[in-house]
Amino acid sequence: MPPLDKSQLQKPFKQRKSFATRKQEVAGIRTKFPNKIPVIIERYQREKYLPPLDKTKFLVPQELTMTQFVTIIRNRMALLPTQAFYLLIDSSGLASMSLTMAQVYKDHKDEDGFLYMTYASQEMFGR
Amino acid sequence: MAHTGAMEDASKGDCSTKQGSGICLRSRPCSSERDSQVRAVKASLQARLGPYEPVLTYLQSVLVWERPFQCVLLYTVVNIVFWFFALTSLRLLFLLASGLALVICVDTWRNKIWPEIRVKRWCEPENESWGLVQPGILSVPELCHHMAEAWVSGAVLTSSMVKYKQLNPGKFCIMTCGVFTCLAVVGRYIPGLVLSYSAVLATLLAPLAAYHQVFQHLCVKLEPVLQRLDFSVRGYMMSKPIDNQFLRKSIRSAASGEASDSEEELAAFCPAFDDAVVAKELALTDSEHSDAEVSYTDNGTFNLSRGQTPLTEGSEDLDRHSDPEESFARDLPDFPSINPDATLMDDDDDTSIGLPSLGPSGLASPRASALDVEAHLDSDQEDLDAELSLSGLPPASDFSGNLAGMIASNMIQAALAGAMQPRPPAAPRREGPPRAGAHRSYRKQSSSELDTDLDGEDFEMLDQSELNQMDPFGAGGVNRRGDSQGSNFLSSLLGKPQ
Repeated sequence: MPPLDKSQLQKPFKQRKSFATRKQEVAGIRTKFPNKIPVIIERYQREKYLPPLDKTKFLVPQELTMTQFVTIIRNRMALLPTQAFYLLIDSSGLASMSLTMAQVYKDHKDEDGFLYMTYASQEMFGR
Repeated sequence: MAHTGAMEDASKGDCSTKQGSGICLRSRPCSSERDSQVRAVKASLQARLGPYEPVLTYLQSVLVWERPFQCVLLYTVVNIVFWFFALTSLRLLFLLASGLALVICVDTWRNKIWPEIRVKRWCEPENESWGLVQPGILSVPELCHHMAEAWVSGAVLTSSMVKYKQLNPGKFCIMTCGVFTCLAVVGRYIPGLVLSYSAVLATLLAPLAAYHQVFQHLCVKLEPVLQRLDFSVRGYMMSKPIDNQFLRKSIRSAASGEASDSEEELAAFCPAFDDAVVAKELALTDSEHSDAEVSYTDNGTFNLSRGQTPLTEGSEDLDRHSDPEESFARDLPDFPSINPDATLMDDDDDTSIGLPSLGPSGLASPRASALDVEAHLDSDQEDLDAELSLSGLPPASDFSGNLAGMIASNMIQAALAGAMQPRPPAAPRREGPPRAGAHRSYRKQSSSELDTDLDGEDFEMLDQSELNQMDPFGAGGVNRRGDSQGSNFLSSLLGKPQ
């Protein structure tokens, strides 16, 4: 196991906050920004190569496609073009890159109102 | 967890096709000292600016006119502040002192008073702020990265300047004096108000220009103009030796070498074109060769020598179909009737290729072997025609019956009668088999015929040089064709059975 940094020691967002708090937060932000989608992006627990993101909660425009979103996240993490980056939706699988965030949110949103995503590099698969 | 390689490709391709600011951030793979500095500065900046991400995103979206109303408001406020400072009658010291006092008051309020009196709303420490995702707008890490890059670059520049000043102070003094003299001249003639207002406007408009990639679009727009400028200069450079060339040509004797003046021949028709046409021609790729030829004929210079001389048509077809020519050259050693003899190259270049060599050969050799040679030459020529697809040249068998062939033979006869002084006049009588030799002699003759037919001569030379430089292998094949026929002639002359 590589040396653990702070974000790896951090518990996932769902375990850090109670369901009521999360739901309240989503309601607050949805009233404030009705056309933005609250997304939680977390690093895969056993991820070794990708750097941690500086933030966990993101407000994403509805009309953004998954391709654009992945691009923005990659730029935010200052990834090289050769570095693989996968965004797993609801920790279940990959979404189609042509879907808009609104469609993804409609299909995969959690019951607290957040859309949970996990990012990982290719190397973690198959373990 | 299933994944596909296409996903990886998509996510990789995203980085280059990022819209908006279009800067693909990447941490450099080589971790030098500068990179570590950049990383440290970026981390500190990010820690400081992180909580203000919504404000920064909002400010960026205002600056790039995504919110037009707020943007107009911002411009108005900036203008009011600027013109207040520009037109105020207040003294500078007053403004400075009151501004500093205000800054200190605000700082005290923020750091000492506000934490005391505010309600503790943020009870949980891990409550992080929201990251705003907006396409085309730099996020805080990217912004921090750019700021850190600029900061570290400035620091490196400053340190190198200090080092330069310590090492050679004289040069440093001269350099700085020059720069400041330029600035002083600018400030002497342009009012400071105009300068500062344009600086403010540039600061306000720079994010907009960066957002819409004005600079890149400008480069794309300017590129054809620059290209044309470049080509016009080149055309001028090419047209330079022409004036000399015509002078030189009148002086030069008829025995000028083919390869030596091929460049000048190439340049000889450049002044006939204007610069735009030249730029277009030179910008054309090889696949658009036919267009270039059309414009050649449009120019009117080469209509005569191009349309009616069979050799030029054949040579054009040679240019156009280089692949069959290559295949021909590759398969040439397999021809049964040809025994290439390298030692005879010089001989047939001089005499044996031309028609008069066939005349004595036909006279001296036994009749049967001469016929044999002719038959071989016929088949050889047919193969050549088929391989090279010389459209202007009909096959040798129906040559006499063909109208185009008649025209070509008339041309050859006229050219031979006009210019070949040492050749016997009975040479072009036999048109069919030795046509390749006739071509060869016509080529030689036209190259020697400098003063009578300049255009045709130019075109001949162009064709030859193009052949040589385009496809040396094919040119070798052409030479070998001449060699093989020369060897055939020689063998027939010696009476060898084929």
